[in-house]
Amino acid sequence: MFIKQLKYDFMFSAKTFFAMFAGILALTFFVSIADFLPNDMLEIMRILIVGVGGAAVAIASYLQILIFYQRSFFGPEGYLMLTLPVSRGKLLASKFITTFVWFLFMLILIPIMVFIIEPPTVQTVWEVIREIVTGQFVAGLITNMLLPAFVLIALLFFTITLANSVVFGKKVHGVVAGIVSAALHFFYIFGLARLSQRSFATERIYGSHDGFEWSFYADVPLVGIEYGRIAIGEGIREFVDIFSIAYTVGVAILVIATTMHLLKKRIALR
Amino acid sequence: MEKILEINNLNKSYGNFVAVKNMSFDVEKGKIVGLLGPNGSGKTTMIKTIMGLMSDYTGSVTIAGNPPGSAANKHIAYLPDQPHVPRWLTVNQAINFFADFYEDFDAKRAADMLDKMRIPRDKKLKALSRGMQEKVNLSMVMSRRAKLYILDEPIGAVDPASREFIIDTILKNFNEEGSILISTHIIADIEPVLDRALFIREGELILNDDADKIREEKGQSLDQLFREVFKNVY
Repeated sequence: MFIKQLKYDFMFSAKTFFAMFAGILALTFFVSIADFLPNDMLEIMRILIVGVGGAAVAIASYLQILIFYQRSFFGPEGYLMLTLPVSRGKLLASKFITTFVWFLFMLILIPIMVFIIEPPTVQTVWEVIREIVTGQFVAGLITNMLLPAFVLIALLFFTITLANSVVFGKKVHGVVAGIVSAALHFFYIFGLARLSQRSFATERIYGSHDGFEWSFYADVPLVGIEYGRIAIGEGIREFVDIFSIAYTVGVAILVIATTMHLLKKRIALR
Repeated sequence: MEKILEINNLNKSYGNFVAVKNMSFDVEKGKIVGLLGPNGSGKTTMIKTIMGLMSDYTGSVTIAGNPPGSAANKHIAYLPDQPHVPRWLTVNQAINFFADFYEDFDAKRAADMLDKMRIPRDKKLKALSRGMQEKVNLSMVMSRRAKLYILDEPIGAVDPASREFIIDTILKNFNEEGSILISTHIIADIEPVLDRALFIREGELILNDDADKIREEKGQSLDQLFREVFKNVY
């Protein structure tokens, strides 16, 4: 049943997402071969398409996800979706997975656009692969992009669910749901920013290691660096990184659990 | 007799407005029960509560021994008061959708029903007229061998000829071992098929009895009684 739910969720969303991604890639390809245009105009178009076009696709994707979730559960289709012999947990999980997959596609889209405009050399490709496999790229991608993206998707679903729920006997107004959501977004991003600040301060004091070598800021004296100091810096950074992951995972669990509770016990389909 | 639906002391409010007050009734296996009341009397609220689309109520609702939820939904074929099958699906995809999720769904019966109604199965639902979409919705629901059919205002917004067609479709296709709970404010067309009648006014159950017994005791049809009881509502 869960696989079938995933199938229909992908079927519903695929057309719009593929159309958006195909459109922006087609534009990028056009710009990459449009040598007949003047150089300065070409440069501006390339920047616009990758930068502005990429941002537009990201915003359009966000809106599409919003419409997809709202329509599936709280539009007329909700009378079917929410009365299927499938638990609300599985329905929600299916929406998460579908949305996350489209997010991953979007993440891959931007480097592809850059590579279309500026085809890399074999050496560059090899260095990128090496960096991905042996460096801290994957760890950084997971902690700095994928986990926060998961939280932001969870917050979006929570907001829409809250706006269609009954709390303390009253239907929640959309504006109230928006305010609560904005507060949660601020709380989460503020917390992440503080942790990043701590991580940055640690790097300034103790230096940083990118998986290959140490590097230090110019104003940090190299004379007197001891292994003990490096170990302390490494320890603090590991703690901050782990705490940052735990913080993100904790917020995600809290938001998802609250969304599940609202879906099971508090919805009011009108 | 085995009870497929049991409701006890159901109360549901929207803020200060009480939509359903202390409602208690049963639906027995194999019976057709009419939930009869004017617009705004609480019929749809009660049905949505049974289907788990409205939470935050007091009292108990049990469907084939289960509370409202995914386990109960296996046994219920639900037709809401608005088109609910996703409009981006083609008719054939809608048949496949129901076949994927409901073990008791008869895809061949659904296809035959739609062909008889001359509904093009390769078209998306959004390309069909409203009336055709409603026929597709009805066909999907009535092609299930469910224990309980819950039909919310199936004849409320259609012309008299279509009403007859819809009632005919319901009676010819429902699982005879199952039960039907049908809500409506148009009594005359549905009266001949009812085993039991429930009158609802302002969220309260004011009459719950066997249809034949009501007609015998009151000396009038359910439609006439309905008009008399609810004449001051409008």
